[in-house]
Amino acid sequence: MTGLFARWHTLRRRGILGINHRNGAFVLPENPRRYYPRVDDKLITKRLADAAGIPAPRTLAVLSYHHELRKLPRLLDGLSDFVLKPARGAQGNGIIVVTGVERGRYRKSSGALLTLPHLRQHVSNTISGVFSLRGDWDSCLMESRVVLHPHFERLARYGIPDIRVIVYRGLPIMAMCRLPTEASDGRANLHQGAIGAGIDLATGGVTHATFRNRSVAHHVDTQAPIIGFDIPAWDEVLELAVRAGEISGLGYVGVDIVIDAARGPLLLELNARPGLGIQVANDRGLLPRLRRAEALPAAALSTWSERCKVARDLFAHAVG
Amino acid sequence: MRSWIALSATLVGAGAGLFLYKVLALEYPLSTAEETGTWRVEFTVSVTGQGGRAVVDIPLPKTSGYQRLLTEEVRSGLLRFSISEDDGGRRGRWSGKLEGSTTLSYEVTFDTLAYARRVPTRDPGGTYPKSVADYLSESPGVQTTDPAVAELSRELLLNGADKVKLARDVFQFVSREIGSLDSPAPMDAVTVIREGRGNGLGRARLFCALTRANGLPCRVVPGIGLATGRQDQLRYWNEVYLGGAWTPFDAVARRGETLPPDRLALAPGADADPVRASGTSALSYRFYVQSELETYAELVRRRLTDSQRFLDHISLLFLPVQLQHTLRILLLVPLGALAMCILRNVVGLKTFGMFMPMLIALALTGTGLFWGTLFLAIIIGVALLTRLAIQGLYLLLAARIGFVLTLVILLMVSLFVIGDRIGIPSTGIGAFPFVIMTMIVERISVSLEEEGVGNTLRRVGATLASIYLTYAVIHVDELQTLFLVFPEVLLVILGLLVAVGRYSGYRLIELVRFRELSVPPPQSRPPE
Repeated sequence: MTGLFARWHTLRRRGILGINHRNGAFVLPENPRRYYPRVDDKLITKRLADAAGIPAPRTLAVLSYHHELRKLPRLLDGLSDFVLKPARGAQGNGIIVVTGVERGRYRKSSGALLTLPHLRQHVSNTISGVFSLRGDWDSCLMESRVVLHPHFERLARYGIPDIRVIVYRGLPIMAMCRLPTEASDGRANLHQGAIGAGIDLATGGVTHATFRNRSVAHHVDTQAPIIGFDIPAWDEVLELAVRAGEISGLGYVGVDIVIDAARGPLLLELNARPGLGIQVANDRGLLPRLRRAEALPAAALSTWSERCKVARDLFAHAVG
Repeated sequence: MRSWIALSATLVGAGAGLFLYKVLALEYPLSTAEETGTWRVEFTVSVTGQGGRAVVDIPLPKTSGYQRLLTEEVRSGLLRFSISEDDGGRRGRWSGKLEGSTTLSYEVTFDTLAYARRVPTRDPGGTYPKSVADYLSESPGVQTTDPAVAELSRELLLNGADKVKLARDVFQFVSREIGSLDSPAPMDAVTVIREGRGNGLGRARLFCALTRANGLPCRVVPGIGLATGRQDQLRYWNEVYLGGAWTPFDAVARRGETLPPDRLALAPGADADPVRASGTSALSYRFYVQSELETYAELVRRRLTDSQRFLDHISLLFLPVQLQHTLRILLLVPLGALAMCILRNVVGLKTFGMFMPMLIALALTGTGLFWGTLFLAIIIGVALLTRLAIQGLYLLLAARIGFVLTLVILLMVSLFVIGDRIGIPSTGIGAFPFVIMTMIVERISVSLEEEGVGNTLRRVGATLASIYLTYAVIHVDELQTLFLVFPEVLLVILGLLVAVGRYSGYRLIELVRFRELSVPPPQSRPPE
C-alpha cells in the first residue's frame, strides 16, 4: 500500500498526466464536440487537409455505396500497391495494405494473397460499418501506399512507422515514433504491441523507447538500436503537426504523421483523445509542458515557424 | 471555476439535510432495534377431542406497555373462536364438537416496547380496588396461607409497611436465593420453598405467595420469549400493584421494575396453567417466533399515518406495496451507478459497457446469483461460439447482430423448456435483457479480435466482478429500506457523482501502467 502511495507521489511529482485529468482538464474543455467529425472521419480530415495544403496520402477512390462495388475491378485495374481503409475506423482496424499483384492475386503486406472477391467482400464490410466502432454506415478509402522511408529500414520490418505529436493550443508538446513489431502485427499502436520511441522535440532524436510499457534500447525484432535514431525531415514533421492541429479545431489533439520515401511527411490522421503512453515512451510527464504552454502569451505564437521554434526551446528533453 | 464543488456540496448538503431533518425534527425512527422490534408469533395448539363438546382456552396478548399489536389471525378448524376481555386481559376460546385431533392457531404481529414504570419511593399500601384486591387471596399454586410461606416470610423479615421495599426484598430473595430448575411440569409455591429451587412458573408463584401474604397484590404474567424459532414453554414473571399501577418483576431474568422488549406478554392471572382445555383427551402447545425485519418500513408508515405534518404524508411508503417492491430495487440502481463510476474512474476497471453490469445484476434478481450466472454463461458462451463460427461468412453488421439476437432468444427458450423439464428455476431468464446479451456477445468477439484473449478474459472478469458487486449492493435489505424511507439520499448520490466526475487523480490501474515512470528520474542524464 505504501508502495502504491509512493508511486502515486512520484508520478505526481514528475507531472505524469492521468486519464481522468486528461479527460477532465484537457479533452472535455479544449475539444468542442462539434469538431469531432473532423478527426473521426478521414474523409473530412483529408478534405480539410487538402484545402489547407497539408500533404496526405493520395486518395485513389472513395467507395460509399454497395452499388459502387461494381466499379472495383476497373478501379484496381493497373494498380499494384494501395491501401484500403475505413473512413471512420478505429485503432487501425479494417486496413488492408496491398504491396503487389501476382497472377491476379493481391499480396498483403503480411504476405498473404487475396483474391478480388476477397477484396470486394472487405470493401463491402467496410461500407456496412463492420470496422466503424459505432457500427454506422461507412465509406471505404482507397489510398496510394506510403513507401517506407529508407532511413527506417532497420527499424521497421513489419509495417510503416508513424509519428504521433501531441499539439496543445497550437504548440507541439510531445512526440513519439511508433514502430510496428511482429507482436503488433504490423500495426503502429502501443496497445497492440508497437514500440514507442520518445523524440526530443529540439533535435528529432530518439532518447528513450518502450515496448509494452517497459524500457527498451533496441528493436525487439531486429535488435537494431533505437536510442539515438534521428527522425528524418524533423523540421517538416513538426510544422506539419502544427498545421494539422490548426485544421482540427481541437485544443488538445494527437497528430499522426507518416514519412513517405518520395513525398516526405504526410498527415495520416488526427485523434481527439490521444493516448498517454507517449509519456512512458518519452520517460517524461505531459503536465509540466502543458502548464508551460498555458503560460505563454498568445502573441508569441502567431506563425507556424514561431510555434515550432518555441516548442523546440520549451520542450527540449534537456528542459524536462 | 470551482462551481462543481459548490454543486456537489449543495446536493450532498440538501440530501443529508433533509435526511437529518426527518430524523431529528420529524423523529423518523432509524432502526427497530432499540425500543421497538416487530415480531410475529404463532401460538399453535394441538388438541384431540373425545367426540363431545370441547373447549380450549388460551391467554392472548393485548396492546399494553409491553407491546403494540399490529395484526391478529386465527385458524380454528371446525371450532368457533371467541375473545373475552376483562381487567386482567384478553383470553381466546375455541369451542365446539370435536372428534379426532386438530390444530388450532393464533398468529399475532406486534411491536415490542420496553416496559417501564416509575416506582414511588414509598408505598404504604391501603385499600385496593376490587379488581386489584382479588390478587391478594390464595389461588391454585399460590398458597398464601400455608405455614411454610408464613415461616419463610418471618425468616426473611418481610414487612408490609412499605410495599415498595417489600416487593424489592421478595425480588432479591427469589431471584438470588432460589435455584433454577428446568421442568415443564407446573410447580406450586410451597414445593419451591421445600426444594429451594423451581422452574419459571414455580418461582413466579412463590413471588406471588410471599407478596400477597404481606398484603401486596401480585399476579403471575405468562409470556413468550422473543427468540427466533420454535418454543414449547411459556415464560413467567410477576406484576405487583405499586403506586396505583402494575409494576413488573422478573425473578428469572433478574430484572425488576423495567423490562427489556424481549417478550410477548399474555393475559395475566396464570395461577393455574394458562392454557386450559375441557372435553379433550390430549393437548399440547408450542410457539413459532419470528422477527419481522422488513416491517421497519411498516413501522415508519404507521407513524407517518398518525402524523399531522405535511412532509410526513408525501412518503413513498404510501404507494401501493407492489410499486414499493419495484422502487426498492430501482432506488438502489443509482448507488450501483456510483459504484460503477468509482470502479471505472478511480480504480480503472474496464468492463463491457458502462451500465451493462448493472442491467445484468438487476436481471439476476429473478434467478438468484448461482443459476443466473450459469444461465448467463450458457447463453453467452453458446452464442459467442456460434458467432465465432460464422465469422468467415462475413455477414453484414445488422444481419450478424440479428443472427446473434435470434440465437440468444433461441437459447433462452431452450433453457425455459429444459428448466421446466428437469426442475431448475429458469423462469427468471424471462427478465434477462436479450439485447444487452447480444451486444455483449458482439463486444466480446470484437475484443477477442482487437485486444487478444488475455485482455478479453481480464475484461470479462472485471465485468463479472462488477455484476456481483452491484448485485450485492442492491440486495442489501437495510439499504433498500433506507432509500425507500429516505429517498432524498439520491441527492447525496448526485452530489457524489459530480465529485467523482471531477476526480482528476490517477486511476489505480495507472499506477501499474506508468510503473516505469514512477522511479524518480536520475539526477544527471547522459548527453543526448
